[in-house]
Amino acid sequence: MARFTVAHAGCDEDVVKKLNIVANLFRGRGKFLSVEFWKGTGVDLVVANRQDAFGRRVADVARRKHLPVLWVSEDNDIDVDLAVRESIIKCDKPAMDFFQQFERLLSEKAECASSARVECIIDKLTEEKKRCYVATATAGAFMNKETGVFKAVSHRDLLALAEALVLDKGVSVAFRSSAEEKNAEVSTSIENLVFGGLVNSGVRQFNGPQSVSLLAWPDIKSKRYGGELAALSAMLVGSAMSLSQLEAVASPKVVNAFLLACRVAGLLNEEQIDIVEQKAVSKLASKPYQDGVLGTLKKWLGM
Amino acid sequence: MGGILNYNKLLFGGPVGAGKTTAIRALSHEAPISTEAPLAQAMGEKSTTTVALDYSFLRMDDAVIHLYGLPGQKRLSFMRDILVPGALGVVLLLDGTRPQIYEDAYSWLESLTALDVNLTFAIGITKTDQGGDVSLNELRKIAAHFSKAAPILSVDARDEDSIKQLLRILVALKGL
Repeated sequence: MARFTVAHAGCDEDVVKKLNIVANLFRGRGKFLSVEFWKGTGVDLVVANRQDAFGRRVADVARRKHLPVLWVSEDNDIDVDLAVRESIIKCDKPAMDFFQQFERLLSEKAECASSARVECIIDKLTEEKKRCYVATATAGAFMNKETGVFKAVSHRDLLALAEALVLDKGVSVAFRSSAEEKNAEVSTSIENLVFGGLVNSGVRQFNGPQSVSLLAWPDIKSKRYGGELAALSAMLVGSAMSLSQLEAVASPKVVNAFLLACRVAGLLNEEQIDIVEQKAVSKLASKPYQDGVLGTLKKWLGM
Repeated sequence: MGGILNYNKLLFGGPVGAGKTTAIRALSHEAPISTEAPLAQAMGEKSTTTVALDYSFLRMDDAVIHLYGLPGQKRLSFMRDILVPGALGVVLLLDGTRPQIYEDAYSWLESLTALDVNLTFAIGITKTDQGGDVSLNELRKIAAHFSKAAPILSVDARDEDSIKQLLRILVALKGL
């Protein structure tokens, strides 16, 4: 039986009663909900009273730890902005309404808590159209799709985020105000951070169409895979290639991480396009290089 | 055409302070010949600027590749006319902390491609760890005016491997 812990903060007796009714309803669905007073962050969902100072403090802590929060409001006028961004329910609503909110919030959490957590994050980052805050328990960075960069307060934050992707540690995506982004002065491209995180992780295989191309040159740095990345980028900018063609110039794990990173950054064109002549590609893939100075330079560069 | 028609040459271009001299020093193990003169007004830690060109070379098994740094100052832009023809490619370095980075990118690409429409170039953005606010996508749009495959990479001009990656890109583009 799936187990969840729900903590409440600043809620009155009536609301706590409803939470216990909801827990009983969940048992009927094969899920065990433990409802308890807030003691700390080791919980799956937080229910906080918006009109209570303690409730607001707990919600702040929960959001910093990227826990889902359900606001309970005593007001008749619910803040529309808040309702858009977060889950909120009026305290006099029936237990069934609470149940529905719980079901949604816990299913979102369970969806991302499976072994496919990183893949879920990758999908979320891909779907994001403008900007968001991507965080681990100890670090975070702003991803801005319009500029194409991740910005953080320090390089350590960027490295921690990439490492969290490698190790499949908890990474979450949240909204933060643009004012906070101003403190972030260190940047790297979106594709660089994602590639660095994915290339050595066992993330799923790229599941795109038969052929892909690039809309722009990706800004990915890697001492180890530099030659492969340059070749992949040069081949794909403006020309459609199949995965097998790409795997002729780079290892499958590099191709996989490269394509996923470009997809997240919005640089990948996944529309079905006619593939260029196999001959032209294999020429680039297999030919050691032209004789002369370019060949010598290629050798010197370790390509 | 009065340029130096040496096909074994790589050029480093970009505005003053972008890191051209530093990049050449990082790449070449030979002591470079520089024509540095004091800046009238110091730019942060930078107190000198290149007034003619930087020169060094890469000695490989059976070839020598000449490295030239183009002066960043507009009044010395005639040096581009001399050096660009016949170059293997140009590494264009842009200072990521300059608010005018987009104007820099446009004017350099415009002047370089005017000299050779088929010029292969790779753009390196330097100083991205010093608090600039560069939009990669904006730079990509500008570069796309001049080449369909315009590579843009964030680089550290002091780091040999970072500059080598720009050369790998030039070589990969030359191979297509």
